[in-house]
Amino acid sequence: MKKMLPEAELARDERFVRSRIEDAIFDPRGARLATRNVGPAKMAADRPAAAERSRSLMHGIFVGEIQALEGAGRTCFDFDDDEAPFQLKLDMARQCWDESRHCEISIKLGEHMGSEIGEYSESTFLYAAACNPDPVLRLTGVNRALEGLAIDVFNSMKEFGESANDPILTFCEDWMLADEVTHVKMGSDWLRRLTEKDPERRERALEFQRTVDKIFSLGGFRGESEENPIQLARRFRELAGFTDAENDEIAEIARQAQAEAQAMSEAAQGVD
Amino acid sequence: MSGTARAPFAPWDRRELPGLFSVEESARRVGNYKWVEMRLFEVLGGWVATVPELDVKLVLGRHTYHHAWHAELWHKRLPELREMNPDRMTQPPNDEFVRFIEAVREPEAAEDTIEKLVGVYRVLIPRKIAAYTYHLNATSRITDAPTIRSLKFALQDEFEDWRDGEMLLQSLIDTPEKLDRAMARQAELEALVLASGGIAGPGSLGADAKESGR
Amino acid sequence: MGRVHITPNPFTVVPYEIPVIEGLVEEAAALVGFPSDVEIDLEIDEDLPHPLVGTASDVVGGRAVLWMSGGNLEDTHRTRQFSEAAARRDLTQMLLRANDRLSEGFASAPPDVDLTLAERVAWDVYAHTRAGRLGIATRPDKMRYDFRLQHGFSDAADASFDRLWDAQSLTWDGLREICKETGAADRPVSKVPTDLLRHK
Repeated sequence: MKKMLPEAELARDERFVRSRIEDAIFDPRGARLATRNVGPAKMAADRPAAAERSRSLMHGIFVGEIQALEGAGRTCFDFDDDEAPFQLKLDMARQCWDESRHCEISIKLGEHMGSEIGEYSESTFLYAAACNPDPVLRLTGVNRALEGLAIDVFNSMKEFGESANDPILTFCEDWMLADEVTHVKMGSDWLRRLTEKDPERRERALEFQRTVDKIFSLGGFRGESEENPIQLARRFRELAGFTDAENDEIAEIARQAQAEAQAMSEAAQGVD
Repeated sequence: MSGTARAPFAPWDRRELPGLFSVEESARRVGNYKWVEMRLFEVLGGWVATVPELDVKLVLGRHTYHHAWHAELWHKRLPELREMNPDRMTQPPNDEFVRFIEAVREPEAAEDTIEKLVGVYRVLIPRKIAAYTYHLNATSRITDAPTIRSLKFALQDEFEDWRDGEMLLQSLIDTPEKLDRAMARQAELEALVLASGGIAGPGSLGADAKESGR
Repeated sequence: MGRVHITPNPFTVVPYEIPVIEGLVEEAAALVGFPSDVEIDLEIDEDLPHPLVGTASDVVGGRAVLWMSGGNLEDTHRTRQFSEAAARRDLTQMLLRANDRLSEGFASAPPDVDLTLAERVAWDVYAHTRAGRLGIATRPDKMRYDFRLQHGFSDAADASFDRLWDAQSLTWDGLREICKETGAADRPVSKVPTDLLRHK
């Protein structure tokens, strides 16, 4: 088996349909929608289309967990012993088990919410962060950016479950949140250890994380206002080892991503 | 303070001091075990992205950790066996075994799930169970007790993982053509592992029964 | 000119086709037994994508006045692509509810904008199950979750859902009674307008 499996070769059964993130970003409806008040984007049971939005997001979480599992698995395989420390690969193997459980939980939660595997399309941009050939950059992209996003998503879903008095959703999201905090800590720890004597490599890794964080902000999907469906979970991010300055930076990156996406959408629509 | 003097070994404790393995022999085998567990968890992790069957994907994700944990157990045991550089002992038993493992790890295509699973669950894991069981039965139950404890933990996983893999295979092999594929794959790999002598090389299961006169 | 009037005509943001949707409306109307002499106005908000879904079914001045999000017609796998199956399912339910409004049993039902979320989902469940009996693909688990979101995750709510799902014939008063049983009728009314998606 070859090292480094590209995104296009991820194996799926016939239920899964892949979408392109550009289709969503360049959708002309985005700019038109931005001028309207369709209510707070943050999810709650009394907000428009709450059920369908939560189902769609849960399916996104499910396919994201598959990709996180695949990314952690590839890190076990792609790097020889002299490229990635034995203990790092053990941590990634542990993460495989966690992500595998998260897939199982997400499948059960999807059933609980009435949806089916493959009902919504899958975008594989999360796995793309796990394709970096430098293990330090890959770990930073996956364990700090992707898993950081997972903290934000799970916390938002947990709050949605609480607002709807849904005990099953609230219970499961809280457990998954605990795992994600561990994964982010793991990423921060390895970044520090592997770049202790190589500040240039550390800066490259952090720059890669900024790029990934910007992509993961999905043009306003994540942020800190009511206009963002997914809220930056500062409290849990702090538990995972992110400093206030790092959280401020991610919030700023999210604001930039939202502004840029809106500009692109307006350009696509021909709006001045 | 006084109390009734009791024998240091309870009447039902029948453990004996002698065992078949010296410190060096136990360390050599543990080094082989660590090497094979590493190659196994790496490939299981790598395969996750290449199998389209969702249930297989999730089981491989879980088993990846099991074998990584076994590798960690053996990694920690090596310094306790006077091997202060665990990497030095983390070796395959011979070149034939390397060829066997390379063949096990070779399949990549999405349609090769049966070939992937047969290699691990019908050839490699049964060999691991056999070698671990032999070590468990042959080594001193007192002097090498820490290895025995790790072997028991590992064997518990191996039995359960073998069962998971075998059941996946039985559910995937649903036509005579797929059965032929599975059998051919197993025969190919059995020949390779036979040439190597097993996961700890010749003697993985002890001396030949004819030689020992039993 | 037929009795189905769709706006906008044509679509400018999504590549949906008016004749296709007109045909599906007529097909759904025939399926549910919607009176052939009642005009149908259907407004589709093409700016709204999936999953921002929503529908409204009112009767005003003897005409069926329907509204739906463009997201209800969108293929969940392909952005801005029309899904005939989704359109057939949702148009059937919308016309079932409009048909209810034309009946004596629902004469006292307030317009959609004044329904609480609990009342609205209960009515949707009743429409969904009847659509299933007419041969439209249904998703009971999905409707159960929608119902639980507004009526609670409880045995009482599930029992009420089952009654709705099995109901052969209900009136507006019967629907309201079910909302009282789950306690949904006693909950504070949301400050978020139920027709917020329709505000432009």
